[in-house]
Amino acid sequence: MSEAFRGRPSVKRLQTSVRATAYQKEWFMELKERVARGEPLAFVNADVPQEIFRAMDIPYVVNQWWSSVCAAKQMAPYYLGLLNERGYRRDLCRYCSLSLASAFDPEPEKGPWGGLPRPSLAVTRMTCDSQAKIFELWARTFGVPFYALENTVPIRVPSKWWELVPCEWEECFDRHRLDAAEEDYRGLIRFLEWHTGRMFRETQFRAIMRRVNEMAEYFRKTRNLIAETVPAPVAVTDTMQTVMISQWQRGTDWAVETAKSLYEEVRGRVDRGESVCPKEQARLMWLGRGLWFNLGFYQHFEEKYGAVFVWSIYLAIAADGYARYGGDPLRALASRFAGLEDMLHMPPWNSDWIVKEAKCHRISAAVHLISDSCTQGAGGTYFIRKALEDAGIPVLQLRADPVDARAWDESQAVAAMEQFLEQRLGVRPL
Amino acid sequence: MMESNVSAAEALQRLERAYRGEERPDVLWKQNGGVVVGWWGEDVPEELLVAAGCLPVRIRGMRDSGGSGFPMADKYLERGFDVLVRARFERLAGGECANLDRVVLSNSSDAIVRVFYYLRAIRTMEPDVRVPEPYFYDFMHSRSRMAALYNRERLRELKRAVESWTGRGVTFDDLSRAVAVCNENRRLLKKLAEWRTADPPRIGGATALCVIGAAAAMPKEEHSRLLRVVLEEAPSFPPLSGVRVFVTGSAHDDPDVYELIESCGAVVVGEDHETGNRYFGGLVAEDADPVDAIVDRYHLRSPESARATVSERVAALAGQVRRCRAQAVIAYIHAADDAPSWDAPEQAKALASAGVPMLVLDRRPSGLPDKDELRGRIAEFLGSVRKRAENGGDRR
Repeated sequence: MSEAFRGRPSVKRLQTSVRATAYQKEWFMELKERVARGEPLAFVNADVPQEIFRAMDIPYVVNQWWSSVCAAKQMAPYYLGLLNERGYRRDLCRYCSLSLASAFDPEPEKGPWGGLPRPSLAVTRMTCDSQAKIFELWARTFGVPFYALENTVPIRVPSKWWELVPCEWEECFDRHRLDAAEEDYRGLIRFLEWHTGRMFRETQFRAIMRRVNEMAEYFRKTRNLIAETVPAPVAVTDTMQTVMISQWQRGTDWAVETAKSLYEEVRGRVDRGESVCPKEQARLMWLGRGLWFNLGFYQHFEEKYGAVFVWSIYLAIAADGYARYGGDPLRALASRFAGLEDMLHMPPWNSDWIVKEAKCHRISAAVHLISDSCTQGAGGTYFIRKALEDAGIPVLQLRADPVDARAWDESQAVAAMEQFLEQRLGVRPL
Repeated sequence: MMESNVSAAEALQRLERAYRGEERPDVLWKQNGGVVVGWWGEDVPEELLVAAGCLPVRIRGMRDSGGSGFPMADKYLERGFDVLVRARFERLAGGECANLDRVVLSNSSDAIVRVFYYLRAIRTMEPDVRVPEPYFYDFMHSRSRMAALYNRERLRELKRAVESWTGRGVTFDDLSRAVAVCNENRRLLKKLAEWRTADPPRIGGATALCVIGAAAAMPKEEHSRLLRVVLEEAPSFPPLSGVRVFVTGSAHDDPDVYELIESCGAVVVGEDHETGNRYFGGLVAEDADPVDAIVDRYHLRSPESARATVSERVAALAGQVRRCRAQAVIAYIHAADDAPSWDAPEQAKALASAGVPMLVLDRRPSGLPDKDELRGRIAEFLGSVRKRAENGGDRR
């Protein structure tokens, strides 16, 4: 563990971000108390409809959230080492298996914030070849049941999906896929009722769906504000964690208030003419997952070059991918998750959208973090690059794992970035 | 078509030539006005394509024999795609499959799903690249009624699509006949497998891999005719000796790995990957509605790694190793083929408790660039298995 690179956190500019980061610890400690009092705990993957768990008042922890916390706390090298000691090769997918690795710790209480409490059940979705395996291994480690949701593949490719999904979602996705997902969700609800004794509350569910829409509206307004403001009022380091912490609290009043607070704080900065770099020289897009163990990386380029990462998938997909209006709420929920995988990872869904976003944000260049150990997270990199370059936007591809600091070469990554900024964009140090 | 007085050796030679692409039944089929449909993904129902009068051919990757790598795969695919997928994609995007009328892909692995998106994107964004038009067959794998019903609807959709490609309807009788033809071929392949597991074996693994692979490269009736000749003479084939090895892990589009294992003093008596015994495992019921029966056969087969949990794979492997009376298991896993790598540690534990040692050869590159070193590792492993058997440690 001592040999691994230790990343540095980003400097927080926004109070909302400070509050959100503090809240996630408070929330987690409260969750641990609830579990200690005998309440169930679900361990779920990011693409599982968490709205269902909230409607049943089942506390849950999201796999990728816990991975990002472990990475940010510089625990990943130690945990992944435990996984490797059990015969799993070092270059297997790590973003989704870091939580499994943490489950092998003989001293789990030494984990972030005292470690993850023992779960009651696990739920994943079979979006890649490894998901069901990782979750089954995880569930067996604790001797708890697990449920795997199906993953279906869209045949239809709607034009400008981001305009259709909020209200015309029924037309945007293949009907048979929505039918299947709805049925799958009913099965999941039954599974949860059986294993936790808790009931799905329809009234609560409808309120949750309404709050998710409210949150998405604030994120959309924030995204639009950042897109249209030059120099940028905030950078991705100001939004990524806040958005994702809110996303994992999706459907709560706290999440809506946080999204609103983020918008108001950004609005205030715009109104006061405050920016990340008054001498902004480049507006950058960060494609792919966040560099969770090293969020300070992004700020080096602000300071040295006035190059600001203004865009990440996190705020953008929160703005465009989540809101659903009308129709049966369970079917609307199915449509939310029927599309996310394609919107983020599959061409032309992702490539068309990314170009649209790049143009809106007046992006100078894109930096694409590609994790070779995860095909899911690096979907269509050639097509994204081609689409952006055809639109006149240069692309730098960086290869790294978003949570595994062991293979990160900071000086090489910084050098690649600096060379890209200076030679491709003609940006000089401030 | 086959000569009536062909010998087993000649039949094997013809099957191997078809497998290796030295004979091209697909080209002949096309020249005669037929429709040739490529398939990639073990859920694609060959019966339906046969019933429609098409020639189904599996997309098979070729080894990088010229040292030029896989330039089209390198261009379009991320590094997380395993070498077998890269080799197959190279053929599709490199123009070698331009004669195919269509290519049907299924979600039997995450990589294949992505290949479908990428092929479709290439056709849209770079129409000069000659790739056949892809069709996606969205087949679910969980053992649930929901999946079974979903799959039936997708099969009916595929049937309508195939009818539009050929311009003629597929009747109940067409399907029933095609099921019978494919089942007959599977029964014959099962007999071939019995000669592999016989004591002593009469058919080696490398030979079997070619014969099985040829079934997915030529008309089924012709393959069955040639295979019958082989089976008729099989009892007189020379007995094979060596450590009885079962191969798990990634699929193989080339017999070179099997040849290497068998050259070290082993006989590959079985395997669980898609291009080996799993290809013909399970029959389609002939006394049921053909759509129901076809779906059930593909849905309920032994689990393939990419679409199964670790425990399902552990149980399946233990059962197959027992049935083949294998003394040892070699898990040969291509670089970036994550699914079998997740299976391997638990498989090794379960096999060890049953007294069967397992050698894991993971992160294997395309071809055998380190053949001598690999031969050494395999020979050492087999030596330890032999020694163990001599000392009475073989608990099969």
